Amino acid sequence: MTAYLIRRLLALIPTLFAVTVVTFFALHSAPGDPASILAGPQASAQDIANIRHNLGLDQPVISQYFRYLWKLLHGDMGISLTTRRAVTSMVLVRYPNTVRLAFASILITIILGVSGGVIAAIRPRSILDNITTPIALVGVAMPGFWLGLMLMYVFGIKLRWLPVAGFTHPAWSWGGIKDIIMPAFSLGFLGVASVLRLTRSSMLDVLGREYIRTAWSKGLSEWAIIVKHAFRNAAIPVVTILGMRMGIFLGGTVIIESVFAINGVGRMVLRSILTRDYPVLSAAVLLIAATFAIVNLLVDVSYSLIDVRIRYD
Amino acid sequence: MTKSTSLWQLRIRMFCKDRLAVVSLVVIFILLMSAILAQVIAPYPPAAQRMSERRLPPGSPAHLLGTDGFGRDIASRLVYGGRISLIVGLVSVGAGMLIGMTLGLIAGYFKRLDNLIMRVMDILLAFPGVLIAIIVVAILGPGLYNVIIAISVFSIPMFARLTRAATLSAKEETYVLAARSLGASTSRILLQHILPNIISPIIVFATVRIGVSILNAAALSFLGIGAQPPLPEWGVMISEGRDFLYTSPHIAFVPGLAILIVVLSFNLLGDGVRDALDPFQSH
Repeated sequence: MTAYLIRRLLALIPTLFAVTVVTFFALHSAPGDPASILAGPQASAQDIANIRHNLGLDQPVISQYFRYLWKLLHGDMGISLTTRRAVTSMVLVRYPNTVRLAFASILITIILGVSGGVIAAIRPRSILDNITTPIALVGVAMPGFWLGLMLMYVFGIKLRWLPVAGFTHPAWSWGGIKDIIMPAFSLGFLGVASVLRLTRSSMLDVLGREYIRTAWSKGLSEWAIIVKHAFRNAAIPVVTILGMRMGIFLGGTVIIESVFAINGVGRMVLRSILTRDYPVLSAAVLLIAATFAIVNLLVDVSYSLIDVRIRYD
Repeated sequence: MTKSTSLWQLRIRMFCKDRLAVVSLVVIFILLMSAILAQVIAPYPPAAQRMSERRLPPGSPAHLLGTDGFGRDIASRLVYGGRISLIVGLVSVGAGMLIGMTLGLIAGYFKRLDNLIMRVMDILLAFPGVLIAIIVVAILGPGLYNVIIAISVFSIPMFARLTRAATLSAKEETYVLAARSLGASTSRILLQHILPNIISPIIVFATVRIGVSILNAAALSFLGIGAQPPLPEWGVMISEGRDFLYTSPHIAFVPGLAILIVVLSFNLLGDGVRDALDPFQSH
């Protein structure tokens, strides 16, 4: 297991390297001169040339990339073209909000999707089982940003139960929980459908196996059979799809953070596109892609914890 | 004497049995017709403003779905917006499918190029969600045409992966060996023998992707980096309606509902087509 973990961690390096190559060269080809933006509209040609020289922008693009990579390895992501502050600190301040949103969304998906799928499987053709398919179909087709606005209207404006914007309270307070309910639901609901359907079919498949019949005949409680025997064996495909959803959620934070005015990395991506602040954009994209790669690694590792028959050595 | 039934007749019969898929096809047909006949159907031009008729609620005498913050008829904008959504969905998926399918065929058939092509696809897939589309928009700049390109790029790796996997198994089939031994050229084997045999799952995937592409294009326009106002794109309409959420929620509600219905229809149509084309693969 340790050897596998080390192997996978090493495999992260080329992935992250490739991500830096794509973001650097893609954004380098984007229109707009960073030196002119940084110098401001009043600057002279000499000022712009000086800034270009200081930033190394007069060097060949390959050496600029290695300079960028070298700085990145030392935790330096450059200077924002709009705020002129260090990008690393700007990104790190916002990162916890994005992670909080992504994980709360996956939690919503797990609570509604997994538990709904298990109940639908153990009580087939019940009312719950019958309503899950339409909910699943609607969930996949619904725009998350629109759902967010509708929730905001009902629970924020009309009923005044939940705050309409921003993370204004500490994460682990009642106010913090109220802050995150609507954004997490807007993002998480889209994943509920696929997780619910997969959990249901995976559980139905496992519940028909002989060892489940044996467990029933041994007189075990329903809880023990469902949780310990059935769900554990049905969980692998569910965990895989949860990992895939995490990628969609991390990308979706750009949209939902904008709807609910959350000060996260996703909203930063959007703002940096509109202001052509490429150092910030590249740092934010890199951080989101790195988080996705690490989540994928954790999903793979979790397989062996769920199913002890899986060995990686 | 029994009448012989062709495979396609069987498939059409199977599709017609799926009531949800038939309803979806009808919805998509209505959308298509309203997109083509927008100028005839829409009661007002999409950009016509009447400041005296701002934010009228749905059910108003002259405006069935009400008006927006500039007094523009929401129903008319919805009809014209349908045209945009349909073009975005069809063109972006068509381009993504064409490029992805070509790359997938090449990767699956030519072992030497497989590693190179698929590693590039893996890099594109390393970016979560719509992030790759957002990067493309960042490079090209905001705008509807750039969104179409961005969403095409976003779908290329998925089509490439699907086609490659199908090509890998198809190229080992006896009919490919037979074609090769008869001296068929590589392009003939790929286009006339392998492609027709692997096209079904690709068509199904493309149908579902149209819905997803409409959804993603609306999201990018909602964020202000896609179609720009005053274009009656559905994402733009929701974004404009956001400013009036307190007083006139219908301005954001109606276009969102339209997206939901259209995307749902494409998804259900995809399910129906899958069941009809390949009943053994159905869920």
